[in-house]
Amino acid sequence: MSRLSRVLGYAVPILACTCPPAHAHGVAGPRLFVSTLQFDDPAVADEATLPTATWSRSPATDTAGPSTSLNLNASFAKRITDRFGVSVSLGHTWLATAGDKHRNGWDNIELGAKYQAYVNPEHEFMLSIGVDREFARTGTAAIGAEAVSTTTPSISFGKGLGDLPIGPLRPFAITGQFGYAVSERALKIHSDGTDNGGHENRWAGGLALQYSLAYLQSEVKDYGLPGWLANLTPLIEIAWSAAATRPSGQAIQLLVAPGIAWSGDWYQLTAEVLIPANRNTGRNLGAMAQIHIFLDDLLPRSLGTPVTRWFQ
Amino acid sequence: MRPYPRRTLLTLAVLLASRPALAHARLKSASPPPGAELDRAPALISITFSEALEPRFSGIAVTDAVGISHTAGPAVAGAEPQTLQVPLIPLPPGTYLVAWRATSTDTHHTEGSYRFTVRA
Repeated sequence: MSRLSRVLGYAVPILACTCPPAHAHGVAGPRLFVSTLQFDDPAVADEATLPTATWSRSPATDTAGPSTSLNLNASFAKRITDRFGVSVSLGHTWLATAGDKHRNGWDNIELGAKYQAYVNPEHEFMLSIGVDREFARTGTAAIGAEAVSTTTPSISFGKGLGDLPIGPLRPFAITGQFGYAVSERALKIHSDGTDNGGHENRWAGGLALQYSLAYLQSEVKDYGLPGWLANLTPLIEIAWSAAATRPSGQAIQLLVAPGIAWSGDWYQLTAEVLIPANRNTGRNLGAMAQIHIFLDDLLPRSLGTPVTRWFQ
Repeated sequence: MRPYPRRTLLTLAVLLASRPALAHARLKSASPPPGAELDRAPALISITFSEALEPRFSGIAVTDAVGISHTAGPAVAGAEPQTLQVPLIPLPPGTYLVAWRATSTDTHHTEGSYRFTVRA
């Protein structure tokens, strides 16, 4: 399942020199865009998430009692060239439903490709295009792994607000991703009310507002913050999904996720609270946390360098 | 069967605590510091980074409000491999832009800038 679908419980895919010097992980000039949890960041990088943990609760339905789920996802992204990379994502879900036995199983495998089309260091801007595919029936149906594959082309961007003339506002940055999820099988509803198990195509996206204390300290004014505090980046993300074709099985879904990221030398720790913004998204709070590893910092001469440089 | 795994998270915690850092060079401290307002002009700019640098591929530029350089020579390594320094010509009162670029020993490139003011 994609990041958003793990929380919503639906198969709503969202969001996945001349030899230039090594930049990697979301650097545009003095701006480091921290990795977000609800959608993919705009950088092409050598990185891994080990893991992303998502905890959520669902209320009772007509056919099942209230449930609690924990998903652990691992993903790996590798640069082929300095601007093009591929990724793979795999997860495992544990599901506990009142009145039913505990279940666990694998999510569908997801593969992705991304190209970093444009970077403007002076204006702290970055733009990427990509595509992700969720391969149906590679996961466990008992925990909700989708039986219909989905392909999602998307565009990602990041813009730091260092251009602003107001010092305290310059550490802000905005990142986002906009995608269109194409279902392999279009949804068809029969005259008796049943359907063919397909899905409508959906628009999906996310936006994040970040405030980098490290940027404040190094680019605006040194307030003498202790080191651990200066590595924090508070952020708030929103993610949404809406039907793009008819008939539609699901209405608009909207999730708000405030959280905080801590950036180490070669890793990032992030935690967020998941707040459904409408009934279609859910009724209970959830939580999400991630250990993100920057392989270009951890292994700069092997896994952390583009494949094309391995043979130079 | 336990519904939630625990061994995986513990293993990762040990890994995070033990691995030495090889990373992008970030500004840790500077003299004068970003946003400083000084009564006396500094004689040099000294920046300490989070990683050891390649001085040949790193530099510091100091310019005034109209873009005129006020450095008295090239940037050189400081006493420690993470430090870069550049001497200055006497600075009149005004606001100055310090623009730095750093290449760490593992070839990662970072850059940044900040301002400080010398009071009249």
